[in-house]
Amino acid sequence: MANSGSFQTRRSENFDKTYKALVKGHYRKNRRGREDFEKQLAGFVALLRSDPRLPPPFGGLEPWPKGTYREGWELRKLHFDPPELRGASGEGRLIYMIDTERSVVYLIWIYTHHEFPTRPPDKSLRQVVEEARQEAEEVERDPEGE
Amino acid sequence: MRFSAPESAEPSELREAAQKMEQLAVMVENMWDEMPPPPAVREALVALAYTSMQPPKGIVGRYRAAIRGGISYARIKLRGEQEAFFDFVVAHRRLSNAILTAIERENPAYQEALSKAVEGAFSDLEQSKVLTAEDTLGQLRQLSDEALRELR
Repeated sequence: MANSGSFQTRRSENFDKTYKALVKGHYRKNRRGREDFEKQLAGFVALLRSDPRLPPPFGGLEPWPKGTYREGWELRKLHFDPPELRGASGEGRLIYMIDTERSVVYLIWIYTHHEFPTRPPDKSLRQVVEEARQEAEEVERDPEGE
Repeated sequence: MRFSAPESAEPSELREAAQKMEQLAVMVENMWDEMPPPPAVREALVALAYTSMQPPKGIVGRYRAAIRGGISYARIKLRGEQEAFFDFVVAHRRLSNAILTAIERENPAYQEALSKAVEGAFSDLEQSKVLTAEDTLGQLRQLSDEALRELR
């Protein structure tokens, strides 16, 4: 099993499709941003070629969807900041699989958190934290909820 | 007059905050689904992630944020806490990523898209295209061009 060194990188059809969707959605009218994004991603691919197992906060293992696990393969996620996208919704993710026996990294999906947002509650952070603190105190006083 | 970092320092608040944040990140990464009640704790973590990553609004907001950031960093430098600050930034990043990742995983659409990506890749391994070291940027540019052509 290869730990690090030289990995071949390949891209799936789904990667191409989602890459194009990301470009259309975020860099359609922003040439400079698009060029920076291409350079950034090319840099990450070079990094994955030398060592695809990036530690947190840059990356980590992703659980296999039900029924898809294969012996000798790893599913991983890389976190990155695409150029000129801001806030939590602009956080980028690159999903890839590693064939550990053949030392091949397959890029299979690229997206931003914007595709799966969860709207924060309509309360201030202070309110939410205060409510959490009060509830935690109640649970501590009465763990069984009686 | 020249400022220099203190040679020895007590564990700073910044370092302690970084350590706590790191511990919380590990907890979120490993135990999000089993996190004990109350649910408001999870709600608070989600609010924390979104709020702390929210960019400042407008020119005035950005200007204020830049000034506040500059002053804070000057204080950190004066106290010789650059290393603790770096640890804090990394821990904050790890925690935010862990929370956003947990939110995504809870979304059925995410699970569906991930399944599709994995199954599609396995069923078509031989058809995948090599990204060579010499031509990765060229291939990505070509994909971008195709995407923009599709819009026309």
